[in-house]
Amino acid sequence: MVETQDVQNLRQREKELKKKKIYNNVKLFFSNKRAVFGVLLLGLFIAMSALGPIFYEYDHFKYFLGPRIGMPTEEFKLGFDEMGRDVFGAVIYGTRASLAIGLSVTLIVVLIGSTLGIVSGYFGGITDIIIMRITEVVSIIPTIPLILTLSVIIGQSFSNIIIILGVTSWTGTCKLVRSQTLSIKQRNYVERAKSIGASDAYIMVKHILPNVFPLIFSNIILTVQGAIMSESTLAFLGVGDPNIPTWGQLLRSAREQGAITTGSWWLFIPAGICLVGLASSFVFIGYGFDEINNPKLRRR
Amino acid sequence: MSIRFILNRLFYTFIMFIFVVTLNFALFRLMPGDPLTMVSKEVASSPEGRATLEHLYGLDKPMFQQYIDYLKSMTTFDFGISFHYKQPVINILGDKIKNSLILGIAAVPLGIAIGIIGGIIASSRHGKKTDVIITTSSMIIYAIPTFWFAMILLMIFGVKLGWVPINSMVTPGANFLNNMEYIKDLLHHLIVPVISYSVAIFGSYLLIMRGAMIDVFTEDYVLTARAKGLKEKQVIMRHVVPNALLPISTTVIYSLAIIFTGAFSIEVLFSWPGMGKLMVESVNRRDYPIMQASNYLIAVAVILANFIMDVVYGYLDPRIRIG
Amino acid sequence: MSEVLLEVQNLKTYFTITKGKVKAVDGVSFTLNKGESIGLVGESGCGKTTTALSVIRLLPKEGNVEGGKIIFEGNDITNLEEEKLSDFRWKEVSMIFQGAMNALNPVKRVCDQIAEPILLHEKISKTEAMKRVKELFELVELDTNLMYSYPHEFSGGMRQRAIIAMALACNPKLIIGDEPTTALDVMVQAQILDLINDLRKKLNMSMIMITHDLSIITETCDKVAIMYAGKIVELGETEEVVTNSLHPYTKMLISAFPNIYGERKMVDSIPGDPPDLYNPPEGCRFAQRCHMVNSKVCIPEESPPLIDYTGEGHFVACHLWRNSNV
Repeated sequence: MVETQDVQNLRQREKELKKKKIYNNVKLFFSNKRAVFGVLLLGLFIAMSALGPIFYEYDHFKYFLGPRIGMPTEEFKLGFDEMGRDVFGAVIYGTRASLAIGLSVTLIVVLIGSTLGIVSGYFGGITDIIIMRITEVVSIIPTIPLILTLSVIIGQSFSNIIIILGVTSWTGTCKLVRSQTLSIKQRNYVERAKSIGASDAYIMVKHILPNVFPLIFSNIILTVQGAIMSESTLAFLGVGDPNIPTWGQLLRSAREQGAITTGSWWLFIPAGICLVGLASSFVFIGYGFDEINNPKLRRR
Repeated sequence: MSIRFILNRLFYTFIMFIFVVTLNFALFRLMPGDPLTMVSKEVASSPEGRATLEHLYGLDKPMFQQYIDYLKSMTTFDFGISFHYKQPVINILGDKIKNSLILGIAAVPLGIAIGIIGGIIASSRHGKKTDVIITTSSMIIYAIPTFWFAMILLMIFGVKLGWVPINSMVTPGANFLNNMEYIKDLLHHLIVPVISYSVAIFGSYLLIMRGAMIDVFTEDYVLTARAKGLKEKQVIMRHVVPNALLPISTTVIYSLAIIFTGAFSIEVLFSWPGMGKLMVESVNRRDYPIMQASNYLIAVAVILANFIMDVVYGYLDPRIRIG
Repeated sequence: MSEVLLEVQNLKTYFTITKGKVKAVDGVSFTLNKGESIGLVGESGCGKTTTALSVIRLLPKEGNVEGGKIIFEGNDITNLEEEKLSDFRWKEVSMIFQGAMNALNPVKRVCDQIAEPILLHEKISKTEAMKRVKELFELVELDTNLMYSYPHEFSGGMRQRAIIAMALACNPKLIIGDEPTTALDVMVQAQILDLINDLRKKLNMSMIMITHDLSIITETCDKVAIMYAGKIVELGETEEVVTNSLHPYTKMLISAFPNIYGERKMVDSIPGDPPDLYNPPEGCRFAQRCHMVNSKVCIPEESPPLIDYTGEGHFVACHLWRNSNV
């Protein structure tokens, strides 16, 4: 009875320690001005994507609300595009598309990357060798030519772009998860779980995954940023779904319409600023987490 | 470095080569549409014409034979005839690669150098104002799409101020009296693309180098170096930089190796007649021979670069060289 | 009797962190004669390494000497400017760092790293410097054929020898060893300690040895200073302090280490944690962990001064011994 009391106390203490650690990390994160700025910026864009459609009506297929490439007016603050569509609405709705792409690509990346990484690091041996060799090959193939080729094969719809971006950008996450798994594998609780006969799958999901996750958090955040940027580049290159107005699509058609030479700033300045704003919010947050996991980076 | 190490890497490089080249072969069998109609609609519409074309492109042979033929033609740089240009692919690629190299060689080393030097400066002032300014601005630059930045530069310096031409490599239709004139015109066209390209590169190099430097700064041998009485500058240049450069050296080699593949969005934006622009156009034109050939060349380049990366890293890091 | 080499007077080294000041070293004084060695002993975080780094003026940027003096060969070096510091370091005082395994730069040849301070401080050619490196290798009993190797080709013990050779490179008057043997296995530890002892006597150098292991001090040091929470609590000849220890903390430290020669008994661990130096308790800093705190002579709310209890150089800072001497 006394022993179980002790065990309970220990558990309690462990829980408190964990809570304190989380609290400290949160405090640390918010003491980083850049990270706080990133969170605020991201909050702004999330609000824009969630509330924008409620307060502002936009239909991508509603043409000629105004003249082709018309100047901004009182009602249409950012003017019109080459089809006479409302640019302001397109920019607002573009937030949704960008966030959707960023998050879904990251989901795919995390699924592939962490599964392969954990399996590779946990089992080691020949499994590790094969997975790491494949990862290495995929990671050295330049992304854009590969994506261009894949886009011809499976097509360029919105969801296909997400899939293509997902299957071409998991290697970094995979390598990181593997190296973290290798170090966590050595820890006592994993040995303990093994010695009492826990299955490999159980250990990987219950013990390794929860401990790997915080360490790859900054990588995940930066993956979102990478996906958003890659999509815009692809859209700019003409690989993308023209029916869904992403910021990249807006920039592409702005260039095609000669917006630079005609000085039609409303076609590409607002969309570009939004793109940079959203992407940099993720960069700031990502590096903020990096400083928590890597104390050396902290300003001392 | 042991011969065994090199042989090992060579063997692995060969396996990778086979893997990637086979993938390239397979991907192009999966391509949608009828490639023959792209060669010539009229000829492909009649059965006899079709058969002739199939025979010409070797599509009537069994798959394995096609694979062998493919390997043979790839290794001899015989990439066939472009659907669009109706010319041997190799002739077209040669020119485009040269143009991409002009742009890349001017921009990539510059971007890398600025990034590495900036990283050294920021990390040696870790936590101070200089560091905060440098790091924050490179984070923002890291989040700026290259082509958008270039669009802004074009609008300001090309259109508003009229200082630089707004597209292509040389003034179209110009007759140059001598080479000097040509080079002057080329340099004039290079300015904005080079600036945008190197800016696109330096942000990530700066952040990586800064992180690597900060990591090394906490090592005991750096403290020892300071205790020896070395000036801070000497400590940084002799002890910190060499160790921080080690992990970055591979990235540098890789970036240099893929210069010829071109800067996609920049080439498209500036109508720079290089590989990047060609590949994008070929995708839109479904010009499979060009796509396949460029993919093959890129694969060969990165695999070679990977091999060189291993060997150079082994040479730079004594732990691998002798171990 | 002998010349004083180093005099540390009431040294106060504080670290400035965002929430305030951490008083890592708070009023430490000791003297070290030429050819003499002193050990600084205490738990981690008690200020021993900070004291040493203050002496060689290598504090991290948030650390600052905010009070007291460090006098080396009669010169006050407390505020020596950066320029003169580079001449002072390694030539006058060299240091063997904690975690010796990483004290050598992995991408530079061992000989170059040893030659580096020689070339820096003395106007000699590279060939001459290499000749010196060779002599140093012989001195620390390393195979001179290995001079041109890289650190990773050395075993732990060999690396530590190379580091000692490096510390001796400029014939310094004082060597600081910060846990120089903790990373090594026991057999190698003993060899390295013997080597340090021999060399120190042969070259008549002074030494500050930092460790948490009292047994190392008894083997290598003439004097010992026991540190607790940024202060020296007991100071004297090593044998005197170990055999007639006065301070309750010293007694606990001694009983916390098993004595392989003595009787077998349970090792006492020291209960409790040292105080947070950001906000150290008023008065006696050891009071919270002291089992003598309830004795009637103890005044825990008052900070006990360090006094010469025996009159022959056995200092102690404890209320228990303060009055009984009178």
